[in-house]
Amino acid sequence: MNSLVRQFLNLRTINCLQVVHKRAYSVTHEEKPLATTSTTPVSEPATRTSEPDTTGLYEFFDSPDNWGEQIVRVGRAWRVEELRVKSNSDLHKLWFVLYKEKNMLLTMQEAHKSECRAFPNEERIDKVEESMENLEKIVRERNAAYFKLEVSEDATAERSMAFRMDQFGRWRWQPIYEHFLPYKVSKNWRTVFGPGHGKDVNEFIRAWKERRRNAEYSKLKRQHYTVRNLLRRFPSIDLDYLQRKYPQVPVQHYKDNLNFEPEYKNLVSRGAYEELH
Amino acid sequence: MRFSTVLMCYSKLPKRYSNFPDKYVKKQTEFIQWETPRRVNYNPTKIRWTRYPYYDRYRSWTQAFQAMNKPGEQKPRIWVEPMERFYVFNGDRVQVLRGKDKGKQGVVKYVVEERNWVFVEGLNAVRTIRQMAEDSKYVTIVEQPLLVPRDVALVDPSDKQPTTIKWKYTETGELVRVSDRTGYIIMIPLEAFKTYDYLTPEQYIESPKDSNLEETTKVTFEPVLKTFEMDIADQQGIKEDRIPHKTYWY
Repeated sequence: MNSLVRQFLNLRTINCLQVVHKRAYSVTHEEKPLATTSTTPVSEPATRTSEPDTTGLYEFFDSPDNWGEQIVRVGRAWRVEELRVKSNSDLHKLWFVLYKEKNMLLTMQEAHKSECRAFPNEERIDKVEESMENLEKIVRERNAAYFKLEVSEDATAERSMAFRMDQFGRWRWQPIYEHFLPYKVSKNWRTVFGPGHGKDVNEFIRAWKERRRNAEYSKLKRQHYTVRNLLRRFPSIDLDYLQRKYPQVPVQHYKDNLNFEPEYKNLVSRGAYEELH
Repeated sequence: MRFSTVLMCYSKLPKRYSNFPDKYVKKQTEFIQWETPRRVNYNPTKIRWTRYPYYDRYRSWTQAFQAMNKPGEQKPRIWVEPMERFYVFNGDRVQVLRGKDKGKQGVVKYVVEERNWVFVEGLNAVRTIRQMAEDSKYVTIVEQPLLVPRDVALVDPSDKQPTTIKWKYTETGELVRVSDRTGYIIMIPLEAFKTYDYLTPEQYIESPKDSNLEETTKVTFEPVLKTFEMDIADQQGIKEDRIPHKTYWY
């Protein structure tokens, strides 16, 4: 793994290294007077020592202790309760720590992938993402509290949404955007994003509603089917929970009107059952 | 290799005590064949090769599970009794109600909540005798699944008899299992809380990547009448005195 990452480093960061080396050359040239005719060769750019660097671009890679490891153990993600008691500056610092960690993990995952190796403990990426989401949640919460105190009770720091008709004629909650011109003046925007109308839009809405209605109906039928089958297969099922899970299905009605004995039906195949009865 | 050793260790754990984040576990059962690029001009859609994952005794993050659910595999539909809260845990003492070990009591070693299965140590097992050489024989014992609540019942600790249970809240607000017959509280065994990383949360050994426990629990919050951005800008010495252009939101 050590050689693996080194190869990857050579491949991917070669351009950056060249820049660094060129600068080193130019500095050495300037320091030496041009008039001297000594035959001392120009000092070679410093080759990388055996101790790997961990600063600058190398921060995109994991610390060399973890190279080639099969398990890298870490704890859980930051929880909301833990972040809630932290000051703003702490959260600001923590965000960048998490951000750098995520970049490092994604880089290492890519390096492992290019070498066809298994990346140890992939769930670390999910843990970092989860803590970043939690942190963002807390920042939103604080901003919302400020807006409620200072502006109004309904105000939030979020972008406000509008319930309006979109260009296809559907009534929807949509995010609103910032514009230089008022709504009445910007006719071009209205023709593209404003509420749609006309024959095509009406036809589309009719078809869209029909399709949605059919989907809802088939979903309901599937629910009826599952409830009937569950009642047949599991005679001692919890009816209250089933009713709560499928509120649109009359569970008790189905339970009372099952038209055959459930155990018998399961044991005998369909053809044999019809022959017997 | 990794898959033969490390994942085998993970696979022994129940789903919710494996210490994996939910997001990671969910990712294993998505079966995405093709996904639209995450750009504005794409309607976000995912094409999956199966909608319903087929669960067996293997955990969803193991290679065996992924091989079982690979594209083109036809699996039967499984009917699982919906339960509000699954009530059998690792380390519980249960009585077998069906099969060749009917009436025997044992300790639960492995739970598959997706199928309402439990595996009881040494009971309902298949024994096979294998002969490697002329003299040496050895027996392998593989426990078979038992369905909850049909095949298995919890044992009431007060009289060592099988009972049904109900989940109830105590006066202190804890959710406990109460025996229907005697009203005795059946505590959840400590083994159920064991994870791959620690036996109990207090025994967890910090890795160098973890933040310190004192640092995490320290309260540094100070209430100020500012938004997050205003507070950070003040601390960094950023002053905003430009007058914004008049804009319209629609």
